[in-house]
Amino acid sequence: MSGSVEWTVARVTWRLLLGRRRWILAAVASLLPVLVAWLFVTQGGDTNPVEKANFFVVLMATLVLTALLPLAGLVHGTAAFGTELDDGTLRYILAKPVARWRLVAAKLATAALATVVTVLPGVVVAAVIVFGTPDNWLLRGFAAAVLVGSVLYAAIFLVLSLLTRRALLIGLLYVIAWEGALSRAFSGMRSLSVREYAMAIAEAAAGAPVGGPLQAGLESATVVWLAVGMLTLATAGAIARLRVLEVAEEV
Amino acid sequence: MATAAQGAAGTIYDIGYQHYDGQRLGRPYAIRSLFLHGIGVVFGVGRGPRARLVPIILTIIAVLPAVIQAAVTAYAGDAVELFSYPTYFLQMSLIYVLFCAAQAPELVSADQRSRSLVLYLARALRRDDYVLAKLFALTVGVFALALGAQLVLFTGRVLGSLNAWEALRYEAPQLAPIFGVSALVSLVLAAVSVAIASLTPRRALATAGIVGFFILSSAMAGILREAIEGSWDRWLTLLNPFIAVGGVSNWIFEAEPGLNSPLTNLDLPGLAYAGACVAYIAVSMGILWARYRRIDA
Amino acid sequence: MSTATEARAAAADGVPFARSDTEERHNASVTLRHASKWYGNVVAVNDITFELTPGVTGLLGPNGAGKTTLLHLMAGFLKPSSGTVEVDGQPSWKNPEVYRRIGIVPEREDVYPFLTGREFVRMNAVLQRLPDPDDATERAVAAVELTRAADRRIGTYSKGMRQRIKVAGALAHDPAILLLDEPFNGMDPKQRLHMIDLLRADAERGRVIVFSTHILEELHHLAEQVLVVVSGRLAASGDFREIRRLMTDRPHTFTLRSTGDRALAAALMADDSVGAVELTDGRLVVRAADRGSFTVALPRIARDVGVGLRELIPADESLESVFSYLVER
Repeated sequence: MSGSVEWTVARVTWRLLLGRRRWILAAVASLLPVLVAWLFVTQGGDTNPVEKANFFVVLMATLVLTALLPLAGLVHGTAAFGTELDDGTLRYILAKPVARWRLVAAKLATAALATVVTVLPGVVVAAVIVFGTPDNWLLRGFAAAVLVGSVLYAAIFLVLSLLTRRALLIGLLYVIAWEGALSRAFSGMRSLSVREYAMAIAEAAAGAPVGGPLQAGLESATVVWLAVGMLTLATAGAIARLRVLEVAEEV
Repeated sequence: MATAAQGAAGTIYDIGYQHYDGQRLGRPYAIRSLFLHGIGVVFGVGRGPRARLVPIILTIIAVLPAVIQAAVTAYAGDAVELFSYPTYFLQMSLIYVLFCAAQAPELVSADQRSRSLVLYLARALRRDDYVLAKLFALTVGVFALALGAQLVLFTGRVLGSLNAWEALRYEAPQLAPIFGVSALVSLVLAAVSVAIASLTPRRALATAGIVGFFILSSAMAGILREAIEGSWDRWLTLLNPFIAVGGVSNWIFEAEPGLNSPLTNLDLPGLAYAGACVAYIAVSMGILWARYRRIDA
Repeated sequence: MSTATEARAAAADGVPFARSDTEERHNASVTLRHASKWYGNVVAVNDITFELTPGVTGLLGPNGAGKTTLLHLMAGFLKPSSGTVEVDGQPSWKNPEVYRRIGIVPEREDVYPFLTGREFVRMNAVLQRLPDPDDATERAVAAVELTRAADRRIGTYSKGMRQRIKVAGALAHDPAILLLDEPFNGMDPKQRLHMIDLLRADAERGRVIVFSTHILEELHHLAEQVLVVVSGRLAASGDFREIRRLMTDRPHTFTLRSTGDRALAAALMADDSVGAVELTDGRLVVRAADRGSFTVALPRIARDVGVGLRELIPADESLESVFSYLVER
């Protein structure tokens, strides 16, 4: 059963990412949007659907897409290979007659899934709280954004963790500086910002421009190409790097 | 080397290990030493140049705007006030967070990684002493940063004015609040940072955790402000530690928040801010206490 | 796949890991030709050439000699800076297929602490793409005598148990070549004996086994061939007993204190077993050509000259000095 190679790697990686007590952190993080949504509702926030929509978009854009999603992607993406690199246990995985792309694929899928699991449930529950039902076009849009964003962030940070030992720190700077401030300031950089992709996807998947609040700066068609390109580049980079990764001596 | 205890089939030789009967400096000295060592770690003293890089750069960036403001005051007096006592650290919040996020793990996570905790605690040092010494070390570090900047502002205002003596008398009453607020900022930030850092032996993860916490809390506070129109939602902005400290700062300085400050229109009583600060410190101490109850390594 | 039926047939024989394709096993080889590895200015492995044969080869050297680097080169973990490192005629670097033939037991203690022993070995078996991973897991775990503890998490294992589970993981796919980095670290005497038996039995069945150590005595019980590595260079290779003999044949230095140094010195120079004598502040330093005959001759000479011996201190017998000698030869 050749499938079981990926499955085994995925299972071990899953336990690395969310096992022991790490899932607690993920649970707490995913509760944040729920908390804010609940507060909105109990505050007698206007039942006006436009207000609700506005609020939800703001919640998604500022808390989830700018902060929660990149951070979750960072932590899981770097840990997928990073934990084993730090611990010196990656050699057990490397010293096997398994094509490197299969290892990367399994770990990437697990990291992306872990990120989705960290972020999406909170988003869904928040939407239910605000709108009363999960069948909502905004939720569909942002769910898609979270899915795509998770995969992209996981891929970027995965390859980063294979390129440098300081992946977590550099990734942090990226999240703070790039996604936080720079990409809004310099519109040229938007084409390289995952957050921008996510926004555009939200817009597209939601089915209609949400107007003011979303303000996606990129065309959704462009975004699809850019996202695919980024994913391919990151994955190919990870595979190539894994092939020539030298296992260091005991530190 | 004369005594030898005779057993039936074996002999134990006294090979000269001396019993030490001299003065033992005891627990207070140990605490003090750990604290001073912690200060060294925070500023990268006594380690390679790379350990000094981040703290020095951040210190410079933290104080630079104060220097600029001081220069500006010298030329333009009170007319141009880019930075002022109460709001300085709010504007520089990112730098303080980065400083704490970079150095708290060095203080606390590194010991767990290298499994030195047992070594520390095998001596006169108690658990609580260890925690307090480390916490105090980071607090003093941030305090130096915060106070330094404030004093630069102060000096700028005094020296830059027409009559230095008069300016000194005018500004002097600000000194007490300056010290107080700086102490508060450093204590809250250090407590939260050390608490988070103590949860993992991986330094990079601790840094990410600290930065993540501040990013997420400020994002939440931001949304709550903008999106919720209730009466007590304003209290929720206290979820951002900087707002709590900023509020106390304004309260103590009896200043009004600026136009762009996240504190505008919050109008919470000063005690609320103070209470929030105390809560942050208390919760952090609680986390630290719980975490160091059980020493695995 | 046929290996599964073969394995089951072998199990019926009651012999663990016996394979009928021993021909394949006997063809296993690890060859280094002028292999070097450097990091910037630091040369870890310096122009080493040898070929490994079936049986147990010990890699002996002081700490930092480059043993681990050498093993990592063989294991395809490092790229040789120059020269070639080949397993079965294929370069070990950038060649995942080679891992079908190689099992590695790294030195580092950390193994996934949250996995049970069985899960860890099974993971190795699955990743080796074995047709029957469960069977292979059970055999490997049994071979290292950890069957009872196999369902406990590795985080709860003692150091020796961790070493053994690592070996089990490496044996799961019954590799033709087994590389072990300081495998006896942390094992108690009973575990050590068991491991030695295990490795010896494997070697007799044709496996190529290499293990590294800096303790001379570990070689004594196990290794037929020895490679002595000092500062990245191959200082000696060949039969263990031969090298041991060569090592003990080198001139020995002794420091003497006596009641009449000068008289003793003169008398010693006259004896055949002595190569050189040096008088320095209150001591006599003697270089003996043959340690055995010198130690016999010394008391006789001293008595003949009427000099009392106060102190006789042999020179540093550390592995370090032995190796330096070997390197200088």
